[in-house]
Amino acid sequence: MSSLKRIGVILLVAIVLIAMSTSFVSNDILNRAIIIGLGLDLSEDNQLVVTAEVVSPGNGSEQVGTFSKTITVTGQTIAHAIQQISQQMGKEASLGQCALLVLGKSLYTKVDFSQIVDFFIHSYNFKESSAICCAKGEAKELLNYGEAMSQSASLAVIAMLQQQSQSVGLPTNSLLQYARSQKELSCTGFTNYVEFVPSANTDSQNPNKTQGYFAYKKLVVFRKNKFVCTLDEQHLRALSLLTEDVSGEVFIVEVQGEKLTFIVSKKKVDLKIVDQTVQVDVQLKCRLARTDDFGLSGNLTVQTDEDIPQDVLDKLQLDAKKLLQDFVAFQQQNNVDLMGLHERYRQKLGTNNFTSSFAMDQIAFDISVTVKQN
Amino acid sequence: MNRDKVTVGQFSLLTLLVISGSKFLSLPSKLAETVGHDGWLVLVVAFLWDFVCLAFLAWAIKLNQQHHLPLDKILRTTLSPIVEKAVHVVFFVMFVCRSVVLLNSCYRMFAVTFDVSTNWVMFVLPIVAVAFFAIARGFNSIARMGQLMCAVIVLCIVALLSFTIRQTDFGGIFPIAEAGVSNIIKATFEHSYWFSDYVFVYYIFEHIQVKKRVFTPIFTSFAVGVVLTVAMNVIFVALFGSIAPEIKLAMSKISVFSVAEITNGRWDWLTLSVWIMSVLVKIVIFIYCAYKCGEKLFGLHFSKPNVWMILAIALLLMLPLFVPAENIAQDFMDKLLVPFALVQYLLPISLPLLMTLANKKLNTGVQK
Repeated sequence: MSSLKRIGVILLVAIVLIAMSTSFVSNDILNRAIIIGLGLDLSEDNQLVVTAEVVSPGNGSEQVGTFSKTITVTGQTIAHAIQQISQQMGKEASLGQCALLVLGKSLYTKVDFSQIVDFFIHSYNFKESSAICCAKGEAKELLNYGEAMSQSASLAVIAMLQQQSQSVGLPTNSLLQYARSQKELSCTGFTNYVEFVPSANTDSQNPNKTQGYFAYKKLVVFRKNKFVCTLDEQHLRALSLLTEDVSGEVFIVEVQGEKLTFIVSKKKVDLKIVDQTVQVDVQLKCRLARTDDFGLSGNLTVQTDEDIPQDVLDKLQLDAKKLLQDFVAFQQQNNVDLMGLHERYRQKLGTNNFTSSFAMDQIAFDISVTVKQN
Repeated sequence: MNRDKVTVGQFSLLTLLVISGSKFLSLPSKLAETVGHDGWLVLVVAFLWDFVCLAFLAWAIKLNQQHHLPLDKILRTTLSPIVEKAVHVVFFVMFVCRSVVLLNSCYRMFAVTFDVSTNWVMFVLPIVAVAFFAIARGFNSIARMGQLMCAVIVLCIVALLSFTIRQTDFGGIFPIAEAGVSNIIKATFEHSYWFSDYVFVYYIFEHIQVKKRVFTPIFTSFAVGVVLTVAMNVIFVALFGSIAPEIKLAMSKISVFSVAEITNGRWDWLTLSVWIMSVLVKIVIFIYCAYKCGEKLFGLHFSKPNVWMILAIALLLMLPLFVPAENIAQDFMDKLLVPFALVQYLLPISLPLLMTLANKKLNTGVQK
């Protein structure tokens, strides 16, 4: 190649590079509103009220230590509301890092919110692995408890729902699991129910500051994205017993006038369908609760040398069985399938009228529980 | 020096790359739309067909070591120049269509996963520039690149699979063949356009050099590619269930399950950005093949890359500016599915026979 040609090629490459670099849209982080949690409520005039917890990069004018701030907008649809966030903040609303969806009571008890779920499922950016939960009151209120928690409200909820839940006996759902549950077979599924519980103020410098924690004691059941009922703490424990990858359920047994606490550290759940009967076989391994062994659970937990008497194990077995029987009766009464039985039947029989629509009281249950010492 | 020279080992690795280079994007959702959770069975059936064809091709490669005949010469000598041109037309349209569809998927993936926003022209031109470089340097440059990157890309796919497995309930793929065997076979035929990724071999056929073995490296690479692709599809349908048809870019959605929600690192970005190199390699190979198709179609042979030809291909790749890329693929399937299926499945099976006939004819001609 002659020198002149080389220069020509270099010039051409330079021009192309300049053209390319100017065509790329710059994405300065300060020009983006990075949303980590979204709260959805319904206003009195049926408008969608969206509260976004936005990461605050903290420029010079902002308070040092501010992690996030919330912004609340109103829109006719979810897309419209998110557009409103961009307009009001003057920054592009970025949903790629959003990991929590909170449904406010005004929304989930009043309307069918299928369109909202579909919006997030169809979004290229939004992660289906995000957590979804229902608030006791308004979602806006829940996301504004960041200061009371001394951290981001969204991150506090996510940390519990997606990271610690498995070791404290808390069944949880991701957006994907929830969205699937509302579209498949029985169209029934649940989300976690989160409430803020105020605690005594221990901060002498800020006596008026709210302090507290988030409690996750219930589940909310939906069918086709419409509210069905709320599961109380006992049913939540039963569902937890039936969820194999969750352990840490607590049982209290009175032995010779003394109350002893036992924790489920391992479990095996076997659900079999024999004709019209569902055989539920739950094998639990329990140990006596100690102060410092929080989180010591799971299938790889080591054996303990403490000896739990057989009569105590029998009591535990009775308690667990009763819990499961009540839970099954509750599902039959309300015709909700939280055990994935429709899916089990589908896997066995294929998709047909029966597997898509059988009522829970059409099914007989045979529940057996065995409890052993871990 | 033959710049297009490729060893069997290099060809095998490229086959592995091209198999895993596109079937993790829009294909899984299309299959889920057609046959639900049996999408992976469509892959299995299609790969079985591909295996048979590849076996014949490997045999043909072995037979060709003596005379190193190019495909166009084999077709011209045994069938007719018209058939030869028709085959090139079908392949040219296929290479351009598939390049457009792949580019479109990549473009969307860059935009949604990596947040890189640009316009179509500026996205396509650098890739065409790489293809131009590959044409200038010969196919050997692509083969060497594939050789260097194959192990890393495969490791990234394995990492993506293994992290997502924990979240997957494999019961979702049961009952197997619920869509019905006939529907699965029908879907295999309807989606045959997405398979036979080894078709690029026809444009380097005479340059493949066999040192020791032919069948073992080709079949091993093919098997690894098939296992990875089928495993990814199984995970996809088991993970997304009934909403799988709505997940248009499988890989970018599967990968988010490999990270915890509030971790700082985005492991999925690292693995995805390496994996997407296989898609880019595939696009470059297809543009290279489209260029060679053009040469053979017009009976030309350029000693240096022909800028006009590359410009023409680049212009065709701009089609999504005027027509949605999905429509381009659909049009191809509607209008050229049968001719392509004939070329796709009949050509490799008959190639050893055609080669033997061509050799005989050419030898007779020389003796006379």
